[in-house]
Amino acid sequence: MSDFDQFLRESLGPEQRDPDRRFVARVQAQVRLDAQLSARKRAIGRRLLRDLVGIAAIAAGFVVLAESPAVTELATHSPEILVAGLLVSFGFVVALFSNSGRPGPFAAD
Amino acid sequence: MTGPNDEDLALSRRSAGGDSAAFAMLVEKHERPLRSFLARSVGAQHADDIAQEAFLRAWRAAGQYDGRARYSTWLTRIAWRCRIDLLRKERPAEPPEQAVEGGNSIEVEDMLARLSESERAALVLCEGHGWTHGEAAELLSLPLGTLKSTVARAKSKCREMWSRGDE
Repeated sequence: MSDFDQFLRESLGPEQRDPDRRFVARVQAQVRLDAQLSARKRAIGRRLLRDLVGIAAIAAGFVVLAESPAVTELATHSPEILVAGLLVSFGFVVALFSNSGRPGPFAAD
Repeated sequence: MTGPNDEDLALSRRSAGGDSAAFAMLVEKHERPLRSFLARSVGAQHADDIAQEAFLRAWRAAGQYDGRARYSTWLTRIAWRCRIDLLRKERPAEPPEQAVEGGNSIEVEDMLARLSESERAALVLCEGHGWTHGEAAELLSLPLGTLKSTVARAKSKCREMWSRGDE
């Protein structure tokens, strides 16, 4: 091996040193943050799916109710009762979904 | 019988399962050659950012490492893609060209500054890090013949600068 080849090999090779603990710690911190963010994203996705299923179930319930003869009769004779019932149901649904996003009293951090 | 990549494969599998301590061992083992290669080929100002991003992507994709290639090769491929992404965002300044003055012993940084980026990367990998021409060709997306001639050209330029600097 010529002097030049030896010079090149020694100059271009990885430097000889111990592992850089600060760099390792920085990467580890980033990895932990990434893992936390991923877990949070997964939780949001799960909650969104659950909410969508809930909304679909409630909508299906309303459709079934609206098609029943008793409800049709109530709408004809006493629409104010039906409107009041719808408002109460709507308020209940809004309250239910607005609470579903909040952590409960025993939720982990 | 254990293969040369078995230890890294085991650590990578543990990382894929969420074991950050196993991943820290991989970072400890591979940060030195990766950062050294990046500092030589893309410049010290971007090397650590790219290396950090590469390790983060390696963590996310830990399950995809199958042990067929060396972990360092797999990781360097990820880092090279990070460098391409960085280039898309901003055009990093080429390392400044430095005058080679006769009578002084030339530094390797001066030589590398006068090469193109692919010449630098090919030379550092094949001459300094012991990569095969095939591995380097794959990383740099070059045909094998082109890679070989790139290394030879880079080496010849360096030899010329070296002999001028030594005069």
